Amino acid sequence: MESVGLVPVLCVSVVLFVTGVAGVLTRKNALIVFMSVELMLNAVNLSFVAFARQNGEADGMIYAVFVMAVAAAEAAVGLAMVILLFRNRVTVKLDDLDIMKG
Amino acid sequence: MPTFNDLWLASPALLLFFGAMAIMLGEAIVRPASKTGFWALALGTLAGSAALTVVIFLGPSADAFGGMLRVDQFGLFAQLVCTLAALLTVLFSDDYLRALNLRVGEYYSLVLFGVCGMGLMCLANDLMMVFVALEVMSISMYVLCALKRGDPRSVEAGFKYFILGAFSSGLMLYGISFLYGATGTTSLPGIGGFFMGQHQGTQATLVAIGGALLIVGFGFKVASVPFHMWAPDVYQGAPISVTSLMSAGVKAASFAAFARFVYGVIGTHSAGFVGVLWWMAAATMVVGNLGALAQRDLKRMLAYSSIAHAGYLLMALVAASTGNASNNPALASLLFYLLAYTFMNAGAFIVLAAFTRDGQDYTDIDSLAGLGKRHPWLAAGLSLCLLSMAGIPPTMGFVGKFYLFSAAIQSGQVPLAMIGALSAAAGVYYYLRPMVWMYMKEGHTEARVAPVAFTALAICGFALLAFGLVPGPMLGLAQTSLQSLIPYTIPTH
Repeated sequence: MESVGLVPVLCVSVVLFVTGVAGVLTRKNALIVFMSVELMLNAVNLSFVAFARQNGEADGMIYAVFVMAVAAAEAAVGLAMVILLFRNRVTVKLDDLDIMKG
Repeated sequence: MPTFNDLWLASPALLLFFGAMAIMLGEAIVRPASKTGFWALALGTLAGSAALTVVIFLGPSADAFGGMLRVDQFGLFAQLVCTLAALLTVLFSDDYLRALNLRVGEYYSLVLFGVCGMGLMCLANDLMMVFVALEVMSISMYVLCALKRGDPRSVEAGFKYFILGAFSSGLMLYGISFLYGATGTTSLPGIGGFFMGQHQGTQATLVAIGGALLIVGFGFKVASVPFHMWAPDVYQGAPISVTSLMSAGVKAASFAAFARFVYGVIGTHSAGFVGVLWWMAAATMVVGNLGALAQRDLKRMLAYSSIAHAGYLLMALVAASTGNASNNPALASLLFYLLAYTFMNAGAFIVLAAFTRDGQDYTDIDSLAGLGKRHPWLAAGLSLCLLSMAGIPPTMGFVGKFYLFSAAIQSGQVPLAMIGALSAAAGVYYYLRPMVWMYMKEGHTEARVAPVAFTALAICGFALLAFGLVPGPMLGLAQTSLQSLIPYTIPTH
């Protein structure tokens, strides 16, 4: 079977990343925004692995594992934060987060 | 396998890590009613870590953990600043948290984890290490911001910080992956060597995108315009002690890593990136100072002031990457200014924390009214810190600004220095306004400051005056520290 080259994989990664960035910037629901951040991190993983294969080194793949570990820690804190937000405000809409203005 | 020497060079961070673990386990297992024991343990750990940093500082610089950490005097100086920021913060935390009715031991654990991340970030010599250290620091800070679980403002601050922090980490990581793709390495010397050489085509594109994404990520972390929107809300909503640590410690660590990247990697080799930094510095100084003018909430005012200070420090980075690489005073003035900012920032927040009672912060400017009559020492301390932030002699802030601006002018950044000086002059207004409230208005301020917190304030005031009147030795130390930081001019491939 012929293996996929660097460019198609990178394209998928860029599409994933841009989707994530667009999600963070436009969506109003805290959970969706959080999911979009995870999407960005997955795009990063994909590009790390693709570059690692291209360079013929293992470092990039190890970095992907690093990123996953950190993303897991972030997910734990982030979801706790969403629950805390809901308990305090009974909403997860980002538009409602406007107590502090100036 | 890490050698004994590696462990020794990382020992300040390791000690903090073990202290944090001990406190976390202690809180989970023993659950003591009074958290003063944890407070003392945290203080001891921080003091021990600072002492270890000083001992390592006196030794030669070296690489540790296979080049992951570069333990040089520059990084150690910045690490010491972070530890100092945490020490000053923890000193007033016990009484502040009691006034806030926040009796949680994990606070101290998270502070120590955060400082551990900051320390490693100052020394990180590999972009992956920068990222991991940054996350250790940031995740602790997210939780600390939202620590006041029942207060919607604290939770909102934590959540905003978390979302924007995670977003900026994502951008930064994507930048790292592109730089890795183009150069085949994530180590700063390796990438720096690549920047030195001629490259074109796909590689050049990857490097350009990667470098730009990294600058955006760092821009978020140091709260520079146009990535500063989160800072006022987060600084205002977080508990005062957390804001104090965040604005001084996180800033010092982020700037240390940013300086390594800018000075060491893109430095004089990439005029395009330096141009971007120039605009960021100019906009940050102007927006920070103008934004602070309208604020009545002191925490929010200090948040904008912190943005303005990030602008001055960015100016130092621009100066460092445009001037003559050897004997460049810009980064020495950056180190000196970070130290000055730590003292004046912590001092101001200690005074603000004195108004907290019955679980409530009182940070409106009106709560300062009449402070000069009722608590002359507190008022004097706050005045000194504000004068220092405004850059009025004979304070340390004046000396710091003087050297920053003269370094910028020496490297030919005259327009940038002028923009900075003009916006700083506008800034004097909002720094002096609280003093009008303190000394010229009548009020019934209730303020209470514990002896330990007062000691911390006294330390800040003394340092601001002492290094303001006799800046020579400390500036000399900053200069010496810098000689260990060399631009990565030798290609490793």
